[in-house]
Amino acid sequence: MWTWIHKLGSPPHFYRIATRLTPWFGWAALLLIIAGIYGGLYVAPTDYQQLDGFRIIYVHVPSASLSLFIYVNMALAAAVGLVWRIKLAHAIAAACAPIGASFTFLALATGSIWAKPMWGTWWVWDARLTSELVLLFLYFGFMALRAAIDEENRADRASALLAIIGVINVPIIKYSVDWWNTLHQPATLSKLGKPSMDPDMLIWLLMMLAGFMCFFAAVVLTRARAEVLLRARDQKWVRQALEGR
Amino acid sequence: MPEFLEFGKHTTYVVSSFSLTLVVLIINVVSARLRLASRVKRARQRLALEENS
Repeated sequence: MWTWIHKLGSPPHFYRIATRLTPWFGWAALLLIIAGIYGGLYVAPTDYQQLDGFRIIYVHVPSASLSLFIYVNMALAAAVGLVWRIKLAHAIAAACAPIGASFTFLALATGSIWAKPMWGTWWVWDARLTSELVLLFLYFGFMALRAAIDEENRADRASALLAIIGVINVPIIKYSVDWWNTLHQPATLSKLGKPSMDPDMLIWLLMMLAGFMCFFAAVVLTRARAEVLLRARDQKWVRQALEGR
Repeated sequence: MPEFLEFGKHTTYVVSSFSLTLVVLIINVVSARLRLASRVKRARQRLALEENS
């Protein structure tokens, strides 16, 4: 187990594995997302209260879940990089940030589009929405900090600290709907044992979530390969890797 | 609006949410692939330069 983890920490080995896994995740994401969109739009029954407007849930909830999942992954990678000085971990953290920012933007935008017909307003400054907006700024801050520092090691360390400190916002987002009075509805996916959705609706949501997870895996592996190449000092494995493409 | 994109009084909201999602997903794929392609190109140039020197 430890040998496997140690091996995975080596850039040449990671590059090879990532190159092999990316198409698998990519095709799985494509199939799951197409099936999820079709099921969410045309197969799932209409909600008795929200009518067809509820179908936005099939893009909003997976985006919001991914925005948190990616941040936790980014912070974990940053912490591993900071504590054990593994450069690959910093490369993965750097690869996570733009994808996480795009899913956070998507969660905010689709949430806002959903809010207009349901709440009568595009935006309210309540705990869930505001803390999700703070998450977007954390992603932007992480990327801006990396871009602002020329020296790679310093950029890695400074951005890792920001990512780790920012983790405090994750439980705030998650539990904001329980801790404070908010217009936002309670969690949809945290009660799988006793789901608040009809199984005919839930199945497509889980499919979209699985599709988004695979999508994230494919894109983060692609971005991480680019980061690894940028940081490669030993030219021998780069030559072998590029010839093997 | 084609019939398969009709979602009652919420058509605009549903269609715009799904369209925006697809656009963001496509931008993610394209930007990641372009970034990797540019890094591969740069790494190849670096290797070629080393070979020639």
